[in-house]
Amino acid sequence: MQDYTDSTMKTGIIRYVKRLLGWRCRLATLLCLLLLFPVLGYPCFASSMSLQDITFQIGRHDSIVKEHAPSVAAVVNLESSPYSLAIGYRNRMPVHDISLYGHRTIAPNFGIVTYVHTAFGTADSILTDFVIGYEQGFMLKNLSLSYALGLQASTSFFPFLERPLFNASLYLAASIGYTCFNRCKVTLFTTTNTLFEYACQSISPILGSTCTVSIGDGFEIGATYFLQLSDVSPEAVLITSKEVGVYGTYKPKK
Amino acid sequence: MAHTSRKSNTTRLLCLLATCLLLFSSCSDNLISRIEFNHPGGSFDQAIDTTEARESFSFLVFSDLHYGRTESGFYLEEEAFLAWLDTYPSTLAFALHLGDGTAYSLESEYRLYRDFLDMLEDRSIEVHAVLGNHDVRADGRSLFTRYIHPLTARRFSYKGISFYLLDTGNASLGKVQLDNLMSSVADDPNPKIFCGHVPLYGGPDMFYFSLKDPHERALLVKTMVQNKVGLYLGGHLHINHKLYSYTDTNHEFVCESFHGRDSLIENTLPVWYVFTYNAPSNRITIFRYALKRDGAIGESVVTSLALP
Repeated sequence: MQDYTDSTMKTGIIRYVKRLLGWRCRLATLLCLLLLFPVLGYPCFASSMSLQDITFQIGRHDSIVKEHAPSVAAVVNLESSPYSLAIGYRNRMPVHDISLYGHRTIAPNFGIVTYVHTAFGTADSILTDFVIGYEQGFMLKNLSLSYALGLQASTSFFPFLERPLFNASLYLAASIGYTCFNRCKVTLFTTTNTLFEYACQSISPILGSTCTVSIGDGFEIGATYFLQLSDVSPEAVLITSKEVGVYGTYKPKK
Repeated sequence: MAHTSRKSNTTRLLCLLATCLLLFSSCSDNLISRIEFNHPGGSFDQAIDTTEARESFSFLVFSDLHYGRTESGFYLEEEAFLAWLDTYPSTLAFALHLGDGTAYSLESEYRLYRDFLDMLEDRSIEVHAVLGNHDVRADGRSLFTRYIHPLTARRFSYKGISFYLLDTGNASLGKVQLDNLMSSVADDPNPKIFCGHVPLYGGPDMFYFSLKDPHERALLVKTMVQNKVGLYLGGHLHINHKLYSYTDTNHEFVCESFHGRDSLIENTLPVWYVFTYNAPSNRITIFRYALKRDGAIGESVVTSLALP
């Protein structure tokens, strides 16, 4: 089984940055994209944000690029009402993922969500995706439901190509969660984008579940599993990636 | 008492969590141990000639026959096409069919598909066909191996150029096929052409119709650029052709459908192509043929592409 670990990744990134610096008009497009963040106020509120929780996850990631890759991830959640921000890093060699997730509450159970995610390490490329959408949730006793709609765009930069590859499509997500015993929550979800996973095109769903249990006031442990399909019914599909992991979350006392 | 109840609840929760973990880890081999299932991969170990001198030649390309399609406005014009073929002035070395020979992967559709390919082969034009997403539903892949070709992914060479026929029926090559393709291509010094059904990228306006895993796509693009893959041929789109150049010598061409359709959603003419490779200039020129509503066949030059 081949391993596409890229020994030239570092060289590739340097070459890519050089190319990017000489590539001014498209750089302006990227900067415009980044400027969308102030709209949600992250930089302004970052200094006043309080730490909500820290999550560490270990698991195994399988994909078309590499099977049986150990996966280690850390996510820090910050909040300054009505804003919340998650900063995540995942290592699943040879791929490094860096992600930001932002949420702004507009009304109870209604908010704007954004994701920015970058993956380094496959075939000299830098794969970046951006999502903006809205999310609405509902509570029915112990049942929680949510859906999200929006737009997602992905860009693949290669040091050996003059132009990046670009795709835009719909962002779709839905989840259903059930809380039992006041401390256990099971969630099933389908989405086109998670903190660390995305598809170039929207009809390549990610299906997954999480199970979380509160241990005392400041700790949670849980397990998560997801798989991504190459297409949807009636097409015949492949699993293009999947991950299973266990995690622990620490919530500092306020 | 309350303490005992809390302890009992904790035990039950831990049992629930353990059960979930067991479920995660044992539901099936498909979900945990393998990244794919129901996919044969492709060895690409067929013998090819890497010493053959490059010579000029032409070949026929068509895509998306869709035998058995029942939607309104769908039509095929085999007789007009065969009449054109019989009067085509130069030799066509072989034909490439870029997938979706059937509509629902039914055996009756595969029989019609086979009959059509036989009509070309009766004219001494060997047809190399790949699988499309419509060909792999239900038992489609095994019907393909029975009626069309024993291998769904394979390669051949012709006059110094290697052709890699990819199985993209699942909108992904899958791990095994991708691994085998990477290693085979690296060992093949010929200039190459990849032939698949689902486009690799096609351009920024391909919202649904291309491969979806960004890491798989990245590997394929890098392979194309670094291993003399001058052209990726795809179908699947039907409504118009698309040309995307990754570099000056690495391109992707997405073909229109061979069937016509007269409907609001899809208003297309039956289209096929002749690709002419010119060895002295090392370029491929693409000629497009469209059967118009009045029965006339229009010819146009789409482009001329430099190969590595």
